[in-house]
Amino acid sequence: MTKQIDEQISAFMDGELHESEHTAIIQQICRNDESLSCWQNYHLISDTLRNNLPPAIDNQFAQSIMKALENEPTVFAPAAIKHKSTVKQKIAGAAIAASVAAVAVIGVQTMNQPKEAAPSLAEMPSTDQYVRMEPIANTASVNPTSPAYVTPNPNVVTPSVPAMKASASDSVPSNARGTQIYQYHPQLNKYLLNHNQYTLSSRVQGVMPYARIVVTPSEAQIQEIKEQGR
Amino acid sequence: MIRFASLLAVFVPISSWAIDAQLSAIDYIGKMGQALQTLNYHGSLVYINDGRVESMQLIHKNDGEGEFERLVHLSGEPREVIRKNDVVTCYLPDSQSVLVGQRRFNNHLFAKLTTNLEQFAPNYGFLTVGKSRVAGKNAHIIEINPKDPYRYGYRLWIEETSNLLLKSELVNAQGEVLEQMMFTQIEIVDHIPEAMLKPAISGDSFTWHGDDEKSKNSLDIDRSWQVANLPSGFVISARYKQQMPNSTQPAEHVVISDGLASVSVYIEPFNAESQSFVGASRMGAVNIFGSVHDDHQVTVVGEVPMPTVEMIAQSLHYSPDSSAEQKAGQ
Repeated sequence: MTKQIDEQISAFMDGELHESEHTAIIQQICRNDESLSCWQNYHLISDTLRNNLPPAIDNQFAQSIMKALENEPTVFAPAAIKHKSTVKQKIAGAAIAASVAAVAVIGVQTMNQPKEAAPSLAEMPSTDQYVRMEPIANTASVNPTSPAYVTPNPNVVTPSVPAMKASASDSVPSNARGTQIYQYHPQLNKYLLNHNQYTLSSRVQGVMPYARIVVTPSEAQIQEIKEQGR
Repeated sequence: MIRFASLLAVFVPISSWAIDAQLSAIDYIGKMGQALQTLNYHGSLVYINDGRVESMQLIHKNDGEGEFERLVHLSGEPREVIRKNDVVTCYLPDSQSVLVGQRRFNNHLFAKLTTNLEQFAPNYGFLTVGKSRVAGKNAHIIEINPKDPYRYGYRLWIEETSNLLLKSELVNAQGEVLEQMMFTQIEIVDHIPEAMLKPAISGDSFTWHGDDEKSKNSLDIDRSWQVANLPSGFVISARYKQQMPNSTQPAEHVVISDGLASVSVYIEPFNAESQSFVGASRMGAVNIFGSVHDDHQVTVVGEVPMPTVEMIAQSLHYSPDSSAEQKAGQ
């Protein structure tokens, strides 16, 4: 009997055992200690012949690992609970993990978006008295490319006007960088008009202050601009 | 020896050439100011602000007896600004109101612009950068570059014979154009007919807002309001009492300027009905910052970058002790 099994094991290792007998021989190796050691010996012989041996061999290696595992204290952690997870369970687990990760990412994203509430100014009171304007999502910075009013006139020299850069000796105060700019409110018209009308500091501005007065929108116009979404 | 001297002759004038270039730019600006004030001219211009293009008409007259100026809005609402010497009247038909008042300009600082380069050198650089053609005329391009982020720069196209301002741009430190004006057509004439200076709108039915007796009394000005932090070159250049529309009490109006740019600080006491404004806002190139100090609404307005108006608003304080010494100066 044993010899027959040994032969079956040898054939199994060489891939010459009939498929119908595979299950039986595997069960034999797992349940029978003699068959198991036969299995190990045949593999050792095979490795020796192929020169696949590691530097040192410990025959008792598997047993010593088993013993060490038994001696380890049991840690009552969820991970210690071993479930024989089926493939279905594994997929479900992955899906749950992915959705948790996605929620975490979204959560972080919303936290990182700037809150469109009151700016963090030192003097910001929180009474209802104060008009709180609507903040603008992105301040409309005018950056039209300066059109080249150039005609092909050989008498006129038109060099490229260099970009004006200020050599900043002072750094801009940090609170200014974080200043939230609110949408213009017609309540501010009176200050704007007064400043442009009467406080003319120099002629380099030419007619600009009066032009500003003339285009300062009224309340109705601001409403219209808002509705147009500009 | 001779060779060395000739080499030296090459190197030495470069620095004086740079100063000459600056003086030449300032020279042009000075002549421009003169021309704008003394010549009779009229023209059509476009004004671009916040991405919107508007067209206007400008008429200017100086007949030796007085100076007159009229700016008419040709697109949109028919608003007008008319100036007779120092009295400025704004016709605002869409709000059915007319604003009248005295213009206060720091002429003394502008005069210094042409004679005292050192005044502006720490804060601005002046350059002639070339020539161009605007409204069919040749112009010199002058640049005024700010040396710190607390002020804006300017680019001026000054017509080469008459020295009129044909085009101008207000530029920030990054070189972005915030505001620009350009004449599409301009004509210098010997005589401007009266009719051209009359408003097209009859303001008779409108509400007139103007300075009243209270605001004209300069002795009432409270000089205790001080600003602790001002960027280099900015000084309190004037103080007024200003009657604001729909207000019972006149406001303290403190004017802060560096000679080219100006900032107005309006300080008003709260009353029961008043709604206040706190925080930053903007209309085109002009930045506004509101804050509250000792039961007063403070509004700072100016064609300067936001950090400047914010700095002024936040370092404004009331010090009664300083008012005595301030009475001597401003």
